Amino acid sequence: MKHNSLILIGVAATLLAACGEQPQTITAKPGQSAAKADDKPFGAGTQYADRASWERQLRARADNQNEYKRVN
Amino acid sequence: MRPFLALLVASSFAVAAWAQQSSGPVLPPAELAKQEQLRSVQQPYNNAPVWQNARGGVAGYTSIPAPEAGVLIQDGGQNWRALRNGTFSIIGGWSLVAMMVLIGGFYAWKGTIQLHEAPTGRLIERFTLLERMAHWATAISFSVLAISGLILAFGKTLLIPVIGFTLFSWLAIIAKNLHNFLGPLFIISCFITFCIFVRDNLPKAVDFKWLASFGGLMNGKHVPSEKFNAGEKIWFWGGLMVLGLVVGASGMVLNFPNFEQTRATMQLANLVHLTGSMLFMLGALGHIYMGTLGMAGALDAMKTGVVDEAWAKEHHEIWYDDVKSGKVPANRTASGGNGGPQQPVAVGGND
Amino acid sequence: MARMKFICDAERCIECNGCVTACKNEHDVPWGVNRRRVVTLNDGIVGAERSISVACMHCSDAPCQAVCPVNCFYKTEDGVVLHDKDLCIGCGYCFYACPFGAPQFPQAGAFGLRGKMDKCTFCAGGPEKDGSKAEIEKYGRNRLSEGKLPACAEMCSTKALLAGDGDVLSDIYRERVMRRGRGGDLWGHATAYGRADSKPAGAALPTAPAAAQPAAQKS
Repeated sequence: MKHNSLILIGVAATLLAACGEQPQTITAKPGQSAAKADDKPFGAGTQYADRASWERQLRARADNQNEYKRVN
Repeated sequence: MRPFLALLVASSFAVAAWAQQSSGPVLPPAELAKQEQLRSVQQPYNNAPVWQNARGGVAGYTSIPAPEAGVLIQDGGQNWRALRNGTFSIIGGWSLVAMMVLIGGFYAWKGTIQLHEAPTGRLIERFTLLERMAHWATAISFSVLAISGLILAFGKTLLIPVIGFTLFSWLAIIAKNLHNFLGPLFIISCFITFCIFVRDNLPKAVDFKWLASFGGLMNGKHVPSEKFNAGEKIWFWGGLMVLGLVVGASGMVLNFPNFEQTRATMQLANLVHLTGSMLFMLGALGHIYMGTLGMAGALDAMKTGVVDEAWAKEHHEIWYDDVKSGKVPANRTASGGNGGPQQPVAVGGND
Repeated sequence: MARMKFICDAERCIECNGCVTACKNEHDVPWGVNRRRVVTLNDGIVGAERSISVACMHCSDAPCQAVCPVNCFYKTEDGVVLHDKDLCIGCGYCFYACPFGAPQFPQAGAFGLRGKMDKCTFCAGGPEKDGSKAEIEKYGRNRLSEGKLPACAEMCSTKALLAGDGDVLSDIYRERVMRRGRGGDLWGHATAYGRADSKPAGAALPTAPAAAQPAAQKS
């Protein structure tokens, strides 16, 4: 009986171990590249002064996909 | 009663977690298509039957000629990820650590097991050149595979924080290529080693006696054994043969993705490969310990091929008796064995 | 902050493979590598056929990132999942983990030896200088840095495939559903509130026997 319970606890621990999945990512923070830094599409040397203007451009562009806004 | 309850709770959690992730097709695809036809009349724009189909991994039509390109969603990957990153990494990794601690403790307790009697200076040939070459080919390829495999499995958590991304990537590329190209070689050398040693590893009644007292390790009593004792035989059958087959076969499935294996096959093969190789490494740790630090004279036997009579008598008495009685030639190489021209070199007993 | 997403409207996709072609052309994707594909379910069954264009979905909790042994994946601030080909070792794990079959491997040798993984970048390039030769050779064009959206979506003739910030896409799709006036994918909407107009294109189909209706329902 004592043996049985040990085995059962072992089986239960094995099954439950999947719940303890550790995030294997180390620098998985948004905007952070793994090894090399990725350029930002805005700021010095780009056509967009700051994030807001770049996002405004993309937002407008995305909105253009809505053909109901066209004059038909 | 209580442990049963605990298990019930635990397994129901596990089953629930699994069920959340996998959902097979509720109905056969043809039936779902028929339902969708009805629904496009009754409830237009509600395409639930189509998507049930998609989630089940049923392939649709696509013009891309790649295996499984017609499958919209393959949901086995999520289970594979959870098991590989979770259960298998955690249990596998910690059991390796535990094994090393165990061996360290054993060494602290017993130390190197020395010969009780003085070496006689008379040598018996234990392994021919061919046998040693087969052993070392297997051993070296195994070690490289184990180390490269460990780098690929645990390097992300253990090495990247230390050596950084770029260096680790180089290391991982080397590890991956070594792993991929040495794998087939390992299988071949396993096979050759198996053929060479199988006759001396057939289980006999005396092995069970040996096992009952774990080779006299626990009570200190002497137990005679054949050329290979029961521990070595277990390693031969369970390790070399069974694990070799399991790890080898699953490794080949992963190594040659050009036979259009599905992702489900790859996921399963990877989990089998992980389990098998972890057990293989646990066994190998024990085997390497007994062959080097654990027992004086064992490494010399595999290095030079010869052992002192005193060593043979103490560790493999039945084999020693056979040699003495002439049933087994004391020098198989000289008596037309398969080892080539090399003569046994005299070594100074055990050191 | 934006959260870049794809939406594919199965009611609109006509399986023209324009998105596939646009992607191939925009990034000079090599033969055998398909960053985007169109899958048709119930192909040839009138009234039940639906097509979906699928590529990397840029998951929030990306399985590829979780299983990558060299951790070559990263997420931009806009939720785009990108990877560093200089780090990639071509092990294929991301392909096993991805539910959408997005990661692609050019064959780098005999016996299916894998090269560096290639996948949809949401037209956002990779960790090289934006628009540089290295970036184009490794990852293709970086349209996002030019203020453009993915070529596949912008090329879509029926605007079935939409790309961009999730909020904007939701607004577009919501308006679409309202214009259709028939509840969209809302469960039981048509049953509860009735159909808005006469029978749709599927009317030529065998009409439903009354008993089939409850059988098809599942909540």
